[in-house]
Amino acid sequence: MFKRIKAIIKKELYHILRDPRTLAVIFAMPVMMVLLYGYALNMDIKFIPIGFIDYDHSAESRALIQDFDASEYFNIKEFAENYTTIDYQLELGIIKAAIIIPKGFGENRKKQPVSQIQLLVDGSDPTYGNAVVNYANALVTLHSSENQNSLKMIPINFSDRFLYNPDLKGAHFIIPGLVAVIMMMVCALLTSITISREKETGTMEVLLVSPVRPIEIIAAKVIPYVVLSIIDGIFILIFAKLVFDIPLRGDLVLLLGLSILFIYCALSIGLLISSMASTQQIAMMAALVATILPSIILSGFIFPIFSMPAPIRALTAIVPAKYYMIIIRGILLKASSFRVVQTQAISLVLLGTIFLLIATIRFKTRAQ
Amino acid sequence: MNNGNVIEAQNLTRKFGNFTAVDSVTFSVGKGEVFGFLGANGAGKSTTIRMLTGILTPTGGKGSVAGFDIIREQEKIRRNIGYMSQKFSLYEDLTVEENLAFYGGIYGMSSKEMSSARKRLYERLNMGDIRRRLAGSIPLGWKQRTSLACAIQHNPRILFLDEPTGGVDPLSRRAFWDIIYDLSESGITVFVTTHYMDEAEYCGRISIMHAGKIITIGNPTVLKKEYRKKTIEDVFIYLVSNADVQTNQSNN
Ligand SMILES: Nc1ncnc2c1ncn2[C@@H]1O[C@H](COP(=O)(O)OP(=O)(O)OP(=O)(O)O)[C@@H](O)[C@H]1O
Ligand SMILES: [Mg+2]
Repeated sequence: MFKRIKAIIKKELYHILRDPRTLAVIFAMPVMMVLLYGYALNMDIKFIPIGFIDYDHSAESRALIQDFDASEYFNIKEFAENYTTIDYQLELGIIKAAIIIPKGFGENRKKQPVSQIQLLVDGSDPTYGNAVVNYANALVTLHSSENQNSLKMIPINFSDRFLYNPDLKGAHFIIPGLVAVIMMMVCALLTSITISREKETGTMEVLLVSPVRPIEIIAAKVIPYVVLSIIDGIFILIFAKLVFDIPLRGDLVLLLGLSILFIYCALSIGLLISSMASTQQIAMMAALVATILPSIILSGFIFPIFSMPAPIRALTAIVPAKYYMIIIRGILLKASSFRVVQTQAISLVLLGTIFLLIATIRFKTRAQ
Repeated sequence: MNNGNVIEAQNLTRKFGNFTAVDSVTFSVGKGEVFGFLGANGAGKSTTIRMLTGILTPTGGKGSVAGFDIIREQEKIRRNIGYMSQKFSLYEDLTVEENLAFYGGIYGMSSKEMSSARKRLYERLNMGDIRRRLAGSIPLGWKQRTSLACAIQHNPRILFLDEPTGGVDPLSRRAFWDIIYDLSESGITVFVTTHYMDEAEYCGRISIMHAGKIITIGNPTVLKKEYRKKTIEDVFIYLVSNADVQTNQSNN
């Protein structure tokens, strides 16, 4: 059995090493994408989930909160009693920012020329980070001027302290997500192509007449791409560390373990595609539509999921990259523990198993 | 069902939807025989081979290869046969030698067994010069020889060749058939499909297939006598046009 698997893996490596297109996908593409996406993209963001801690409970603090509530840029998710709750929710990504109104805020506004509130921003995500700071600043400035007549004009200063990503580097946020896109590409796209190529050229038939079992064919075809995608992931992170100095903060062993769950999902999708596609062309198109595009567009890689329309947001539930995005950003930028990302890990296992089951059923029915 | 036959088919049938590609064919092939499976395009030759080799499940009838049932014992059959498919089964981005090593590997051969098998084959098939060339870059005749080498290096008892000489010049075809004779002399049973009628003359026995049915079966010389024709080509044309007339009549 190992002889047979070894023979197929060896052959697969020849294919990879001798095909410039495959080599380009594996090595040139990540470099290009890291450089391309490494520069932050600016976008209009709405409904940023935020939290409030109101230590003051005054008419003034309520007026300020109401203004935030009325704005379409913010969506108040949480009124917390204390700092711990807010911190936890920031870490989970439930909210992207929190505004803390200190005790005595209302009194202060009446008596002092300058009042302060505190803004906490999840800076691991510079797009949101910048947006939150800008929108909140604008809103607060507006709030001060509106109250000019009833109160004395009191400018409110923000003492903002960025969490997690203090210098707001776009690359820090984008590149971990890129790992997800590249892994999806290598695993799903290349595996589905290599299997459908054997069908197209007719070599699959000869394999099926030989003593090799279908499961051995699949295992042997999948192994090189799993190894390659892990190498690719590591390669991207090291390259990005050198070029953009992205942090590698969390538990890298945990990251590797959870990456394998993501790879499992990607491979299942790749197998599902190859169970349906009879030619390389079809496999390539299907992989593009079913894996690469959703991984870029529907995963929160660039476009925030919470500002998508509800039906699309629902659709993102079956995009594995969405979960992996949270995992890899969480671990690398916030040093998240397993407990924080366990929901995502479970989602990946479930999704991968569902895809694999469908692929197996399809292979069985097609064999006849 | 045995009595020295290494391939047996009884009322073997394969339907694709409503279409019957192979219609209740019955035949047997003895050990060491060169059995020619003749028929026009679409007659059902490849479909029959695919049922015998376990790629397709029959929708009716039964069969055995090397004494094993083609439906229930496919795995045992696989160890005993070599198969050359009608489509090319070489990896074009691998050299001839790498292709051989790959097919040896999936048959579980050790590298020692493989290198001695390769040595033997290079000599026998006269292909020492092309071993380091990419399979995609060699002429068709050589590709076919390489495919054959891949199919026989693990010493199968039975060899299935699906149109092994399609599209090559008469000289290469002749050379190929010399090799087939050699193989059969060493005790290997050869089941070969073709639509070249001259090749049929080289076979020990032939069957002629038409629209999924076997319309005659026997030794080429005997068949020629029986139908009073000079060549197998004439026999073929006579039988096939007869069969067409019959189907037309029964349709009316
Ligand atoms: N998987 C399939 N689904 C539907 N029809 C099929 C399938 N495979 C073969 N057929 C049909 O069955 C018939 C017999 O095909 P087969 O390949 O056995 O012919 P053949 O004798 O090998 O012909 P050729 O000389 O062209 O190789 C053809 O009409 C073909 O279109
Ligand atoms: Mg055929």
